Amino acid sequence: MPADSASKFPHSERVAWLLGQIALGSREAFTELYALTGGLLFAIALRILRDRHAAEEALQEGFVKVWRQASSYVAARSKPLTWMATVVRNCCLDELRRRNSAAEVPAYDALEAIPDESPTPVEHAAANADVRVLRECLEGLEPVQQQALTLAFFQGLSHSEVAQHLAQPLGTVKSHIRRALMWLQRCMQRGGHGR
Amino acid sequence: MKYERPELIDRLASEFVLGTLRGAARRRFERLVPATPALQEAVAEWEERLMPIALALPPVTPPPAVWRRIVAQIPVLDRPHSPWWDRINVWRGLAITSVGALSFLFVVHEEAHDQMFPQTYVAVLNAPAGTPSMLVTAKQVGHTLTVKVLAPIDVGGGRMLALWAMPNSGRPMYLGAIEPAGVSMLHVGSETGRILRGVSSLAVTVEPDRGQPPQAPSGPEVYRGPLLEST
Repeated sequence: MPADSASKFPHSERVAWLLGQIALGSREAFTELYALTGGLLFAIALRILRDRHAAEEALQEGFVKVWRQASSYVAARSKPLTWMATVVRNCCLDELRRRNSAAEVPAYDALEAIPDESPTPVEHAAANADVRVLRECLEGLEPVQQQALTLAFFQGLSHSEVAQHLAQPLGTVKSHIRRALMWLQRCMQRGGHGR
Repeated sequence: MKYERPELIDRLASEFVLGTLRGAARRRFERLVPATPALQEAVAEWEERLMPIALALPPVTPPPAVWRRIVAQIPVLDRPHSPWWDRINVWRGLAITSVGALSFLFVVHEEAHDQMFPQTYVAVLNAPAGTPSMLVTAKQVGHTLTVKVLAPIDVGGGRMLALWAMPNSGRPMYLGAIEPAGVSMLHVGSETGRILRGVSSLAVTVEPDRGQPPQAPSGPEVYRGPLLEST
């Protein structure tokens, strides 16, 4: 494996190659892509929609989009899994907005989503450098900033919905999110290590 | 709104990706992205930054029906290949005399057959932690399974890795021994399409190496994954 792949998710090169084959119409490549990434993308859909049936539909819609739009994936601009996760997450957020649910939103800890690296093989942990950096940077946030960020990211909440959920003034929530994003940007640029 | 200011572009991109940019501002931003490289770059940067939050989730295997529904939505004729009878080569082949023509037609037909019926089995076998560890592929019309080990495994001496077909009902069927690294080609007795019919997943166990095929899985299961068909 080339050295620069250490910072990428596992099989990133394979996924990028498969997307290229799919753009040429290869159903075999599409099958392998689903076998490789379907579980991860299903986990994302489940986390956002918190409903098995809706998550299955979003996954289905997302993969049909990946088939149709594979030729528009630009490798130079984003990693293949980032691109696919964005496609599936957008399907989920569209569904949430359709529902327009004012239903209660469970509190959710972003760090919970990141599994411990201990039981996984060394290669896997090394390949997940992105996750390590993000984990360290999320740990550097104040709990309320982290909560606001996660509500927006996973539940698709707007500023005012986050404010309502956290029972805080709108202006305060806006500045929490703004500061959290700026902190993540700075922290991730220098490669993690918290505050 | 002025989109030339880098700080503004960055702020809007971050809130666009996070999802907090809403209403008219979101629609305007969305409209401008395709035509504005600076916006595209900023959006891509924020996607790389924030998406690991989602990509760190442990995978959950979706039910088999999802794949069937996806495949049903993808047009079968949506392929760059044309059917073999449309090819000028076939008719040109027929025009050439006797033996030469026959063998040429045979070759073209074989190749076309492969493109018209490229049904393939694919399984990615995962370790319990969800790490993809093996890729198994097979053509429906062949007698070979190809197993590619994605992360080398240490099985220790006197033991081997056994690949099993797990049918929807009935006992696991032994498919062959896998090398702990690299690529293994497993030759199976009959057409893979027949062997793998009604098989929902594949699994790998660690078995004592007795020099003969195990009758049933006895050791720990180390990898498992659903078996998918490409059509």
